Amino acid sequence: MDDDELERSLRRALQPSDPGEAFSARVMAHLAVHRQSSTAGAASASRSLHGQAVRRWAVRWTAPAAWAACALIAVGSIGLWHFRQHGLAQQRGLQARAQLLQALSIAGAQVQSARAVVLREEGGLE
Amino acid sequence: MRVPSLAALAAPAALGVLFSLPLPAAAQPAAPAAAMQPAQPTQPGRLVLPDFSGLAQKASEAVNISLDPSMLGIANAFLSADPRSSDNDVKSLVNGIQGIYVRSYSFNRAGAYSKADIDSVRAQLTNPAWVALVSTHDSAQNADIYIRRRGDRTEGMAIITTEPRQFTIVNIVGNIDLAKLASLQGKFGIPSVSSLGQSSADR
Repeated sequence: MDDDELERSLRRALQPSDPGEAFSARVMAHLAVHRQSSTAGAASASRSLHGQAVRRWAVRWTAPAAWAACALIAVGSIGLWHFRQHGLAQQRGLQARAQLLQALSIAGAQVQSARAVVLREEGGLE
Repeated sequence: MRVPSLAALAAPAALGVLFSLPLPAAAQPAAPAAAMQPAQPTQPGRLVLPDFSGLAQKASEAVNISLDPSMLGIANAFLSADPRSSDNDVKSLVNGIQGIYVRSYSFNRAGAYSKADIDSVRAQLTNPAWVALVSTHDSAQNADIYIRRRGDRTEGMAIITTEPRQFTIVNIVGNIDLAKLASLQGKFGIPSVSSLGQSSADR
């Protein structure tokens, strides 16, 4: 192929052709789709980064929070147990005091009764 | 080491140990009305009181109080915390007491309790260490007040009063001041001597 034929071939290949009436519309539609897809991708990318940050924060603080909750529950339970034990001790003490007074009153009454019998046998009361 | 012979095992002390072991049901004798509590008291002034739990159901009134040194300490602590002045008399009385044991039962009919149980307690007072302060016996009432002393120190007191329809046993271990006990008359429901002019038989 000589130079003239090569040139003629190139001219034919590079000769502008009419794309048709819908070409502009097709291009505009393609551009609109491309613009939407690029915007959605940016949003999902930002959401992904935020979620990762939240997950990292949760992983970092979940264990200490659980330990703190367990400690609070333990302290509260111990405090409640001590409060209940104090109440039981109080009740036991009051019951012991009541029994002591009752025992002394019975003993005193018996002594007085025996004394009265002795005095009666001796012929009179003081 | 010398191995004890059968003769040594027949010694009274050893027999006491043997008979304290639980016997088979068929070999056990008939139980008394109130079973004796096991073991000797560790405190000198303490009596071994029968178990009257079976009488509680028959009694119209029943009082069963056992205050050992630990319970007395708790009760005394609550006395001290009480601001009422009437408890000060009790506090001075309780100082020196190591135990108080009361068994008091009243019944609606005569003969509801076993005199053998009361006699088992009186039998412990035949020990020379116990001295009778008061011992009155008539048809209406039997009253015994014993004190156990060691030198100038009182180790215990026992009060046993019986009537046809009621009995009371009080055992106080430790140092008890009878004058202070009598001074509690009019307080805590303790009758004064003047109000005791009528005997219980006249009631």
